[in-house]
Amino acid sequence: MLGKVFIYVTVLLSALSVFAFLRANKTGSKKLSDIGGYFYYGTVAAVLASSIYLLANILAHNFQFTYIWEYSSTELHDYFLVASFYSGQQGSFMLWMLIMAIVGMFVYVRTTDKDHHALSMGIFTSIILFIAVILIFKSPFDYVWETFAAENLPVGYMPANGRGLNPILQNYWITIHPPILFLGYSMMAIPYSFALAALIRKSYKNWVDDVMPWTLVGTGILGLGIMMGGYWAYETLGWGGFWAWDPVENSSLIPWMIAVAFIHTLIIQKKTNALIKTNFILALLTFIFVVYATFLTRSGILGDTSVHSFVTPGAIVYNLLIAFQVVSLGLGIFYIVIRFGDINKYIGKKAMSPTTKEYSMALGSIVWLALAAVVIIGTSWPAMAELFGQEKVAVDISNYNKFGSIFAVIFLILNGISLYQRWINSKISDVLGKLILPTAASVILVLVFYFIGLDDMNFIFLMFATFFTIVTNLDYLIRNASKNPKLIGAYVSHLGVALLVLGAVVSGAYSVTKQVRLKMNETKSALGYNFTFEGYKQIETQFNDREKYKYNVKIEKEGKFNVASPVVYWSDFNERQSPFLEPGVYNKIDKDIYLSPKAIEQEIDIPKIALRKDDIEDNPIDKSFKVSVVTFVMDKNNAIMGDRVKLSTVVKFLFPDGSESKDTLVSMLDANTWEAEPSWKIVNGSNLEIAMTKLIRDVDNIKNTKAVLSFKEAGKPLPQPVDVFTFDVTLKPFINLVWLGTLALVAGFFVSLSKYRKSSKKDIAEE
Amino acid sequence: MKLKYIIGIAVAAAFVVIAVMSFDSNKIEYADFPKAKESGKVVQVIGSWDKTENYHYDSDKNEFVFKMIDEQGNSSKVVCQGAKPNNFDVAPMVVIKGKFEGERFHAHEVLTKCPSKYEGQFDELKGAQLYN
Repeated sequence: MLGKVFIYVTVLLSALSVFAFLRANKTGSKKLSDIGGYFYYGTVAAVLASSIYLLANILAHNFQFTYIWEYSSTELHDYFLVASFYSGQQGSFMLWMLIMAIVGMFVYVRTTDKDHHALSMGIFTSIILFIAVILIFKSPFDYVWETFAAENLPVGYMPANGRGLNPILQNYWITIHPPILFLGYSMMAIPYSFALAALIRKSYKNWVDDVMPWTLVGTGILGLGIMMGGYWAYETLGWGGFWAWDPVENSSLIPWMIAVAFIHTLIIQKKTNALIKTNFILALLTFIFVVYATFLTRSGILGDTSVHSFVTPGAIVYNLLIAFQVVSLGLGIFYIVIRFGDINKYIGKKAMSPTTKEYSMALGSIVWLALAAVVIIGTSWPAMAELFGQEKVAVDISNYNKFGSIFAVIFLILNGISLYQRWINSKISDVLGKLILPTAASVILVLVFYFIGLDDMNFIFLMFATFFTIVTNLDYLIRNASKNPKLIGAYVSHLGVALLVLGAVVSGAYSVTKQVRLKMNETKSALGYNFTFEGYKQIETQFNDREKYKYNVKIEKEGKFNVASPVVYWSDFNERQSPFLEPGVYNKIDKDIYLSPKAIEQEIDIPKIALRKDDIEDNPIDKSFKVSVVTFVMDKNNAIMGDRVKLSTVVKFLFPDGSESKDTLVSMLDANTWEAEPSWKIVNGSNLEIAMTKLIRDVDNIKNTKAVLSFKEAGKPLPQPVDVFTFDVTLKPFINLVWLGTLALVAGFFVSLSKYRKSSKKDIAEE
Repeated sequence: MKLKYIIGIAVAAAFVVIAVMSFDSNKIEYADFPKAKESGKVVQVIGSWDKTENYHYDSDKNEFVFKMIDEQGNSSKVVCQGAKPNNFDVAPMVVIKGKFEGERFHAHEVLTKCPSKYEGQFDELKGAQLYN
């Protein structure tokens, strides 16, 4: 009850706040603006109250709330309990609203002296209002007897325990990645609010300075959040890679890509007063695509094409999400259109000269945006097909790599060139001379790789482009590091982009995988390393709901060894029917050795041979006689008994003295696995027993079907079963470049921030 | 309208057409099992694991085999390279990508929904209970 009251209060106060802010903008009244502020603080208080109320109930295991029952349980560790706050639809809307509210306080305080203060806050707060309205219809505070009203649950019904959090999500990343992503999303609302306010107020220039630091921070944080998701997927979820071009992953990438382009076009406007309209459009689009991402993820529309998307939230919320998009997009288009002519008055008449820095930057931004458009088209395709009643389709993700590898070459080279160009007045002759050295260096580096074995044309171009960007940006980085440390942000970021592209391409194209199947203490070699399965060790023994083991595999090469430990996790979550598997990674500087568990089995170590019809082989124990399969006999009428198939295998034994004997081995094979428990028969004239224990079928060529014949010494018990661990080994070369690149890329945004903090004229003049 | 806008719009439109055609030429359609068998093309099939038959993993061949019922109720054996996907047991829905080879559907990709995204069903609520 209380929780819902807080949400209603949030709706009321934020609506009042929006109203007051908008009136304040109309009338210019400072007092009304302050009143808007008071209501805003009231909104923040209500949002905090509802969040604290939800969290307190999660911590108290109050499973009367459907949401809490769905996403938490008494076994969850404290910090996973905090994560269950936002594990579902409702709670993640709550988290978004909470972070929006807090971000808004900073915006409020830091813009008090600006003339767009009231209007920007009014727009920003209306987004909070929108989320709060959604939370009325999709509430985390529904009781179980309300959710399942048709089932006549008594009021006050308290489930004994919650469903808990899926074991594979129980990792520290779940406490970090979603909040950071939502912080990024929330900050993208700032350029939208500022741009719309500037359009409405016909103040087309000043907003550029105000919006830059927020955009830098927001883009940096969103990038960090996206990267963390990729690292999480790679490191513990065992998805094999860091980016799968899944529609939901893409939907977070799109606003980030637009924001990155926006930062570049903003710089162009600051320096040359061009691209005023472009900047409005990009600022608006950044948030519009955040809303679009929200729609794709939460409407259920990607249900069949994405692993991450939520199930349908119900018609009301679906329509609210549509309305959210229509309103945010509609307002943007409306004000761009009606201000279009007006803005043109402020644009300088001089066209950009193709030899200038701004021209290269604009061109690079266009190519970058074209890549964003590819991602938008591919991501929207399934959703659009569904919306327009077309047949469902999925896109082939190779398209992204295809376009990406072409466009990356262009924008990387443009970036390198632009460094040597000057703003507004730049001549070719100034630049050409300076380009010789970095171009030559890049060509030499590519040649080195060419002679090592790089032959793919596309790769050669990509390599050249990345080396060119690295060399040129390093040049500027080193030159400026001590002189103007505030300027190096861009170089650090661009260096990061180049390293990221290089890492992604090399680790993707040159990774190799091999499967290894090891008995306990057995050693096998694969891909140049020796792997030994050293056994397993139970971890997290303090919990009763799970059995979690580290499977230790020793990796040895040239006398040096290390241990990688994939995790096998049996959980009550799926009634321990089968384990959850997490990869084990051995990080080396130049590559990762990635062990992805595939199967754990127990095997009785019985000597066996697999024979086709008419094959002849020694018995594997003492080789005192040979064995051959004569034929298989299946009784057509009585062969199938439940899920067992009765099969007789006629075998022939050939002894060294030339004598032969035949016998028929009866096996009850499992119809799925084609395996059978051994039913032993003595081989006459020897001290061995034989059984037919598995049929290896070849559906395409029956002649290749093999019988597995097992042997043991007569009268002796079978040996104890041993553990067998099967895993895929993947060598991922230079994967560390991906992480290093993204870290540099993100760090660059924050370094750049220092340049704009005081926005002193001096810094800008130096550039 | 100025010439540069016309050129700009033309280039952008041409690019979008190229991108759309590129995605269109190798899109992967959804199908049920009979349609998938008939066409012989790579398709996606939505359905669920038929729990009346156990899945199994063959470590010799590195194959995971299970029986799947598509949304129309047709069933088929599905073979996929690699191990059982995480969440397979708890996933109410699986989406497979691949094509028929003989009688069995060879999937090169098996998608089970991200585990955080399921909402609770009433029958999960039953069992031990507490009253306040």
